[in-house]
Amino acid sequence: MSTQVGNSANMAAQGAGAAAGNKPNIVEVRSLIKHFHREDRTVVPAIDTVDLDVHPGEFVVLLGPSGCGKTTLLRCIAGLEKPDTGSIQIQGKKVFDSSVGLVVPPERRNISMIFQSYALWPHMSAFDNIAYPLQSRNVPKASIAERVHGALKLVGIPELVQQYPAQMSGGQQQRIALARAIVSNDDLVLFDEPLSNVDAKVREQLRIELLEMQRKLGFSALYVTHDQTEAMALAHRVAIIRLGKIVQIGSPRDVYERPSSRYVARFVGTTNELNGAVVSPTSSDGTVRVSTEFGEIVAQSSSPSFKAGDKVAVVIRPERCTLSTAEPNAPFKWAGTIEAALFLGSHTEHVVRIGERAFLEWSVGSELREVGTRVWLTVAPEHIRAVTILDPTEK
Amino acid sequence: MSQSTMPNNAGANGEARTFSRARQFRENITPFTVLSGLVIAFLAFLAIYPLYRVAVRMVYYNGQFDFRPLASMVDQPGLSVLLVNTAIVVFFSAIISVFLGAIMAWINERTDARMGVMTDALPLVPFLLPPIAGAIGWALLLSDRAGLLNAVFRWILNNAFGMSLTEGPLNIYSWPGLVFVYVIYSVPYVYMLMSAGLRNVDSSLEEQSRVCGAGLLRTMRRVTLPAVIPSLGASVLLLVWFGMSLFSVPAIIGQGAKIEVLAVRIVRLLTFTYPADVPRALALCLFVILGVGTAYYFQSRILRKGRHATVGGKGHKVTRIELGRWKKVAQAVVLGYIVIAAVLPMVGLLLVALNGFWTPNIRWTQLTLDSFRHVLIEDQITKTALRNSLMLGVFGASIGIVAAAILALFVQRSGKGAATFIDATIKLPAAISTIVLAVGFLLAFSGPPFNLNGTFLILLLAYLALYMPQASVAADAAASQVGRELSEASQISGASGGRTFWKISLPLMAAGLAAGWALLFVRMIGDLTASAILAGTNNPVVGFRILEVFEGASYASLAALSTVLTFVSMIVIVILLILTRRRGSSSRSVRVSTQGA
Repeated sequence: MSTQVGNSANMAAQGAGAAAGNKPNIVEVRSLIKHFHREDRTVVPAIDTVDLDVHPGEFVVLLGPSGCGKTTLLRCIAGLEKPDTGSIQIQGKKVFDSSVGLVVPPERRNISMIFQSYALWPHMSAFDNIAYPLQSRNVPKASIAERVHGALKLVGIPELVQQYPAQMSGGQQQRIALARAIVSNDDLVLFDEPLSNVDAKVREQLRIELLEMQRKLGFSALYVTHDQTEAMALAHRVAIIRLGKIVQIGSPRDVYERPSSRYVARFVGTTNELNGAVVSPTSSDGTVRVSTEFGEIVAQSSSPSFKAGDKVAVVIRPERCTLSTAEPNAPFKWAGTIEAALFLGSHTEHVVRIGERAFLEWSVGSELREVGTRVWLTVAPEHIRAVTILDPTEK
Repeated sequence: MSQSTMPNNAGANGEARTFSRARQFRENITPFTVLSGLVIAFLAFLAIYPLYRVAVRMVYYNGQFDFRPLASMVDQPGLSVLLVNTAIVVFFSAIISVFLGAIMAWINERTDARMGVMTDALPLVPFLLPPIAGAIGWALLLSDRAGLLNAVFRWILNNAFGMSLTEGPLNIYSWPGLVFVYVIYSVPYVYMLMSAGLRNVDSSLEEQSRVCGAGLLRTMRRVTLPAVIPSLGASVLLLVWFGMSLFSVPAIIGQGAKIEVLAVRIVRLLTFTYPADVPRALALCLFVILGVGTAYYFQSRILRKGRHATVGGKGHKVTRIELGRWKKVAQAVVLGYIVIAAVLPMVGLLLVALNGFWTPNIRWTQLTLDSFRHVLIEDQITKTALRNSLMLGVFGASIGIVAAAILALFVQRSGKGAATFIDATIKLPAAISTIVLAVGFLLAFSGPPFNLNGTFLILLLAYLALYMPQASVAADAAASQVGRELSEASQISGASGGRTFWKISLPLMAAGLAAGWALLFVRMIGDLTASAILAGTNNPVVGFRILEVFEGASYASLAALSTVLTFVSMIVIVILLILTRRRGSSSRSVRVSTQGA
């Protein structure tokens, strides 16, 4: 629970994910550290002191760019990689604890996993692939066929039971992999970028089915992806990972609307940014005064303890900007020129030149303005946010 | 000494890591890890102990230090000529063989020029003909004066062009002749490893390249070739090992051409010199180690890069390239090789066997089966030898290939350091030319406490140790092409290490392992060098028998015995080939029409 940073008001609305009742956590990761030893003998931190809880029935997504350590974290929980130090508990049972030298091999962790390549065994039919986890766990023969057919029906391809993986399309292989993962009714299913190999239409369809299935069967899911849309759509909670650390964890709305850092703000959506320095410490109402190239701004503070002089970024989402030709009566307004106007189907996008900066503005159902028009851009104070800069070297 | 040629990336990680490794080991002991450990320990013992005895003999003999072997490093008549000869033969035969073998594997696996199960089976035929029989077959065909094929050429040239040749026009006893027979016996190694490799590479990778606008040749160079790099590396390693240790071919052809190579000199010093000149032979072995060690180092570097294609979890769709007018050319290449490698020497052997003795003037009306009746019915020793060899082949190949698979997976899973070292430890001794390891076996196991002299068991153990590098190279290539996620998915599904091995890794490696089994079987029943030392008149095997017959210069009996041996091997291998093909086709290759949604 210590990891549950930020506002959890949205989680109640999302239902299943809440840390309801006294049921034990499905996964508890504590102070996990793992280093990789490269061939040139340099040591790279892959997981850097990670704590993570997954509650019963919860869908947690690990989101980050490639190489950030999210897959390594997943594989450590699966038992396919051995962390250096820390502990991992699954369903109340310790499966890894460096302090006592405990390592439970993957086959005794009672979990399921879907691999990026699906990892269907090419020499086995769909039936044999799905029956394998049951056979390995000594499920009575009599009930195996029934459960396999049940799982196939659940993923919607009962007719493929005798087909071999090579005879199936990508989407069908994906469904077989899903059936293999749910057939043993494990409480935890791990997903390693399972949708990255299918085309967009199928991906969207599978995403919806996966969500339905998870909510219906009630297993806990830990899901690795680099696709923020996918993360938003699936997760009760999203953990954003950078250089082996979880930099923020919270509901999709949390991380989108209340990012704690510029890194998170950028990773989960599009931002307009200003660089600034804190003028006076975070006040008791949660705001902070920041001096920027646009003058002094009062922004929502992502930290309760900014001090005067701290370098911060001021971030504003494009859909929170409003344009007008007449000067509005608002605390924060900046005059600029329309540099580009694009109709994007669901919404329109204007690029507004304000001094050295180009701001994006998105709106639904409004007319395109002519390029070159002088406009005022305003933002409601509650949508201006001052965040820390984790990666000062980035532009 | 030998360690210096191996990659050494152990250590470095410090004591803390070693400590946690040890702890993890304790936690994860399962029946399968115990079994793997025992198998690997046994293999290591088989490889190391005889070598240890040989090594001891190098500096210590009869209760006192004896440095003659090391002293004779340089004290060898014609050492530089010997080394240059060996290098030339191995280098040129390897280059030509890799080229031919890879081309034929590609034709057979990827184009519409393949000709059914015949093309699958026929490139293996030279394997069924023991090298000594093949060498003799070609000597019978192309020797300067009495060669049967030369007689045919002369008849054509003399009649059609009015020439009056009495010898030639070709001569097997020459540099090209020697390389030629080496190539015949090297191509199948390349062919088997490369086709197993190609079978495991998704042809959509190639289609992707074609779509990107790359032509056929460019696709082969940029996509197909890099994808089968592990098979290619394995092929080269195998050829260097094979070429440096091959004794029978240079013994026959090289002797006639007056070209001496390392292997022949070693055997000559050990068995044809009385008393055996062990010190000089051992000194020469050090040069062989150096050559093979270098090849192994480069192969392990290729595998470690890990950029080659592996069997992913996704199914494969093999689409054959249409060659158009080149199809006939491709088929001619394959057929031409088959005729040269197998059909012609077989015809030569058969004719000599039926004719009763070796002469270009075949008495077509008086051919008899007398020599076959002699080797199969009348000669009790030959009968026993055939039975012994067959049993050794079946047991040896089966045990050897499964053990090699366990070893390969062990090395692949546990990665670097100790595993690589153990792997190299098991392979290197056999690389010291089969004859030396055989001497080691004699030193180690024939006397007390084992007392295995002249038994079936000492031969079985010797064959296992001798041919482990071949089994291992085939198993390594097969293992490196089974995607890691496939066995991980099995572990996650709750399967133990043993179950994952039997149900997932082994079946997926089957194509590569079956090829390896066939290779082992043929090598074991046709073994010549080890058998010459370890078998006896009480416990004969075919290789030993062939050597005896050869020394008696009884070409008709030798030809008959080789024909019988070939026939037996061919039946076994063709059955195996058909079985693996049929099994493979149900799961692997898929017609485009069966593609769903």
